[in-house]
Amino acid sequence: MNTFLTIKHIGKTFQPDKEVEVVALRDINLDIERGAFVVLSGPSGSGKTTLLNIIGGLDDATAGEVILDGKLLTGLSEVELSGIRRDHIGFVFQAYNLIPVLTVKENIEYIMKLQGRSQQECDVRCLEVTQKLDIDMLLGKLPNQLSGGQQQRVAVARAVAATPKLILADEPTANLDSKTAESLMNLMQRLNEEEGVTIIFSSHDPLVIAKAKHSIILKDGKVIADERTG
Amino acid sequence: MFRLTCRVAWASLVRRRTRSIVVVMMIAVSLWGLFTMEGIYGGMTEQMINSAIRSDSGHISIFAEGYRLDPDLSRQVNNVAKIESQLVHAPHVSSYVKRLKQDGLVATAHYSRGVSIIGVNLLAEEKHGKLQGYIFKGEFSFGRKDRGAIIGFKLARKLHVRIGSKIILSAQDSHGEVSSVSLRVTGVLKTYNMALDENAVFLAEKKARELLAVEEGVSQLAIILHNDSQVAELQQKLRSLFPSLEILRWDELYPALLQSRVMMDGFNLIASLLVFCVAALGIFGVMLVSVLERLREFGIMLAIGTRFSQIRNIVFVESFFLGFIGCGFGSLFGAGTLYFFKVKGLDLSLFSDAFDEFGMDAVIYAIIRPSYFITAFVAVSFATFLSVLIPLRVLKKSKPIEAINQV
Amino acid sequence: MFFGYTKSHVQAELFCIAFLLTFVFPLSAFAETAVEIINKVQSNLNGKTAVMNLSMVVKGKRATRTMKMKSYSCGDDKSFIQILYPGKDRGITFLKIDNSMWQYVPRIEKIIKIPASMMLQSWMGSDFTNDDLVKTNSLTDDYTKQLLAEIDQEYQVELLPTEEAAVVWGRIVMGVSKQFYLPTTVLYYDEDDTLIRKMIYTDVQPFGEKYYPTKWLMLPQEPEKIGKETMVEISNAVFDEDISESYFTKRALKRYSN
Repeated sequence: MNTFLTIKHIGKTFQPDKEVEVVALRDINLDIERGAFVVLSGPSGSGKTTLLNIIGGLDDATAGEVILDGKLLTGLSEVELSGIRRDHIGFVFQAYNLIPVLTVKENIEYIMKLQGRSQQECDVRCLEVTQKLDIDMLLGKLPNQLSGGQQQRVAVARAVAATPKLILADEPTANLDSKTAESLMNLMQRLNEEEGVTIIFSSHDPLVIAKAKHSIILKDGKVIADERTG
Repeated sequence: MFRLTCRVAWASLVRRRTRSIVVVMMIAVSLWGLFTMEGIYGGMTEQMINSAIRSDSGHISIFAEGYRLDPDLSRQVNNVAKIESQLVHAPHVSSYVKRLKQDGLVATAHYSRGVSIIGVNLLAEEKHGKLQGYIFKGEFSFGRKDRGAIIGFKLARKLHVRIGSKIILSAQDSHGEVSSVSLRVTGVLKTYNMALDENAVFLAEKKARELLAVEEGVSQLAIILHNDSQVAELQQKLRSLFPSLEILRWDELYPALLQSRVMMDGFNLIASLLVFCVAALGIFGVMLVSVLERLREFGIMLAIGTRFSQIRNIVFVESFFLGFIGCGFGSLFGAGTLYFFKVKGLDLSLFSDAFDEFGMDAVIYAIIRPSYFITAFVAVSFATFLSVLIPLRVLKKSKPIEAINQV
Repeated sequence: MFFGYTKSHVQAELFCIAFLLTFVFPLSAFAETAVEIINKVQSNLNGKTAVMNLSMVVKGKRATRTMKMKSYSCGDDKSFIQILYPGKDRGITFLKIDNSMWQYVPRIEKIIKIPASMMLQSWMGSDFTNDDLVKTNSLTDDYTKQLLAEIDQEYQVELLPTEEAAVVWGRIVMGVSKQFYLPTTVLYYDEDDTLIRKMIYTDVQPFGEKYYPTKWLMLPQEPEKIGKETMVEISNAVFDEDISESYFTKRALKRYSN
């Protein structure tokens, strides 16, 4: 089996208060193939973001395991997780993705620089990615000079430029108008097909759900549907 | 990676330009104030010490045994030629003078006062301590027939004498007889050495010898060296050569002067500490706010693979930039101001009466010491380091990653 | 010489002599120099030897003090003074030889040599200084003299200190009585010609062959000292008799203390 990402019995309980316990995820089990285009959907509060955070190593699971490309993620130290995020996982958040003090080019190169790539390599890859995303004329601008859609495209460019194996996108179209959202989704689809990057979305935008080939529905912290459509 | 850190740090500071400028200015202005105070206070102290060395004690003074406790004419330094031959050949020695001293009385028709009669050779004093630089009124001369006297300005004031006034000097000579001489005031000195300004009457050595019936022998030899670091060495040497004489350094003769130097150092330390606190608080305030503002930003950076240590470095570099730029400007302004006052002097003649009381010059020449800038730099460096520790702790505890999710 | 002169010649000569006696000869008094005048004054004041009983009344701003003393002097360079009254000062003695002065204080049984610094202090609380007592002969040596004027029975002599003289005065003007060659009023000026001190000698009395002023009044003229005065009265004086040299030794200070 081409299992790229395995989620076994993942559970997450929050304790915001000494008395109060909130169970965000309950015994989640999922298998995701390499190169998949997955969407996690469900009503708000269903645990989509929590699950995404756990997969990305941004949060610790209370129970269970996450195995990414044969490597156990749960239980790793902060430093190790940081390295994995840097080298293998790309993130696109709903908003505020970019480092506001750096230019578009510097933002896109950021992860690559962290990885220690040479300036030349960064230049080449940056150009490649921005041309694909049609933002190559924005390289010198600062994030506050861009529109919402442009910002998201730059975020995607950054995420992809560092050649991760997996991209996690949390509600990437939530702040965009339908036209821009459509455009972004098409781009991401293209990337998925051309670069072979596994992309997992969390969204309740029907547009996103429509594009996905693997759809997982969560409710009250449990998987209630897990379908592959393509 | 370091370049990236610096780039992010610098860009963050520039983004919050006003805030950064305010902190930098705070540091720069307080440093400038510190340097100015240090340089001027230092200048005042050094002027006083210099004045005493030039007009009175030299770096080293030689007296006969027991002279300081009982400054009598019977206690004279007698083997002067031998001492002189030593001094002439000593490489450290820049100049020396011989003086004949006795306590006596000066009188006019109206007033009389106890004074210190000092027989000197003006030419030698000119080369030695540039005593002529202290002439306030009149001339640096004893007139054609050596019938002149140069007196301290406070003494002149108390006696109500002018240039050309007659004064009668009386003293007990070496035979114990009271002997008098009539002199005309040819010059008035302002040395800022209170003992001289209030009590001294300088006259030609020849005249002093006549008055006091002392043919040979001197009361004091004052020596100035090229370099004051060699003073102790010369003192040792002279002591071993002339064990029967009292050979003393200026700070042994006037410990109060050394005290004022020590006090100055203490004052500078306290002032530096104050500046340190100002810098630390300024940077602390700015960095705390700046870090808390950027929690989400840092969160995202962590999410995309930045290690916490790298975030920490960015914060450190930011605070160091603030500190060093502030230090740089402060040092620049400070050095400029001190150089100006070093050359032109700070004219406080508005308060000259008060200064005269303390025996200090109302025009103060600042001094510049590298130690001022080095100490300031170290203080600011420490301040930047310490002030950013708390904001970093707050940052770590705030779990930046959680900040991402707060929409 | 007078042979062959007629009566009218004699008359003319007599007239000339009379004229000369009346007008010209008195003018020859000017031929007596200021120096001579002062020398006479000095010798009159000092005599070869003198033994005097004196009283001194010092009037201060608040109080008046009286002292009685006896003085022995030989020329103007040696003198010895015994204080007789009041009781607390009785027994104090002073010796002056040339420019030096010694004092004996019985209370502490010590002889002190007056150092230069004490020379200008007041002598026994009076307006005279130690220096004044020591420098009684300085008029002769330290000044050039010039006769200023003749007014009635007085000469007015101006004394100017020589360049080398160690005296504080800028100028002294002394009135000298023609009759006795004694001082009448002496004015002491400073260098700026401000009057500092006035000495008035009155009540000239005969003592044997000598005449002497028995009242000496010293009036300070400086603004802050106006109102003070010292009056010395001589009650008894014997001049030019032999005095034992033993008075002018340091031993005398203690020996003749009481």
